[in-house]
Amino acid sequence: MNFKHFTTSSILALCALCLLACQHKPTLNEQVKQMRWINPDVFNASKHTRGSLYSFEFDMTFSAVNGENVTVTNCLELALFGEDRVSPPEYIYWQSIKIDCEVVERYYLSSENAVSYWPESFDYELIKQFPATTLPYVGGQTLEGRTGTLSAYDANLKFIEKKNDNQIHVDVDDMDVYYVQLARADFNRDGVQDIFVRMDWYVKDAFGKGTDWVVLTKLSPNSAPMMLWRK
Amino acid sequence: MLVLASLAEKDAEYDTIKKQHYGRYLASYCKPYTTLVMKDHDIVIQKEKLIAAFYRELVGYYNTKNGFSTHFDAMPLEVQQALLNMSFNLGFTRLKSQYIDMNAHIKKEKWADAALQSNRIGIQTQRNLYVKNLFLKAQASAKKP
Repeated sequence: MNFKHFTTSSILALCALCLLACQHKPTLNEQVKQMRWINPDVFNASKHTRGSLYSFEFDMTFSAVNGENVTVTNCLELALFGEDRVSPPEYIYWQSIKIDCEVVERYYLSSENAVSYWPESFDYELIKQFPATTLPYVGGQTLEGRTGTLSAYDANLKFIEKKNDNQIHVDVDDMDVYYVQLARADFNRDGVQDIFVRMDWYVKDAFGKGTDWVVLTKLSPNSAPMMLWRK
Repeated sequence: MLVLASLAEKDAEYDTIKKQHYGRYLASYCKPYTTLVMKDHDIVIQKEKLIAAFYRELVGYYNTKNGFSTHFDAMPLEVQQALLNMSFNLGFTRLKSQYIDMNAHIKKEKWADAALQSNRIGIQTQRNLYVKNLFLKAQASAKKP
């Protein structure tokens, strides 16, 4: 055997191996997975979740249209109370608790951990990168033709205040919108973590207010956030 | 005895309420944080002022100059009521710029089609039905000889 040829071949093979190793991207399974998370500011001591949707308890008293006070303590009671029975001024609170129920249900059906491409911080910079349709839908043709990111589409998008680590107040589309990060989890079980965002909205030049939600996903470190579901 | 509150006191009250946890609690939650009282008479004045302001905006847009077949005041009363109801909730800007299909039907006085496009998201079904029925009532009246 030609010793010189053998040595050269070995070195070349070694280099090729090193090159391959350098080019190898970690697969989903090899990446560090993150545990699912639910916002403790929202699901605080007054609203208990003990590991399942069925253990989700709260204590809300609504005024009914007939003038009675009705106290509901879980999602079933809330659904039974029904939107047609709650007095109009308190409808937004009924909706808000209904969204809590929605989050909790999806949260406990999600994978316990998944790969996450979301930045650690929930801030205005992240909201700017959300799809242009990530704003409350109040009717009409509001969402039609909205493409790209929220900041690229809405030149008037304006940061107002960071209320806390998971709540950003923004001026968008003539509304005061509070983007609240409610949970991070792999809601659709594709191995990638998604975020559940509630949007509390108040029309600036009138009296409309309400609450809406979206679930967004981010499939790679460099990909833009995508809309997975909305209310 | 009631004493008139100063502007500074009103500002301070506003700031106190504003600092509370927003939007998650019922009106009764805010009650302990309030000290000022607004008289019913003043509430009515404020309401009337607001309705007048919304009315001015509606009159300024729903007219023949903007392609509508009639002026706002000449539209069926039910249509006027529906539009006022919607603008009070959505704001005039949103009603004008985002309810494009509904306004297109209003231009042609197709009230039943406008009814289908009047649906708002985030309000109770009864409120949507109320507005929808106003448009349908206008359509029913229009068919009569």
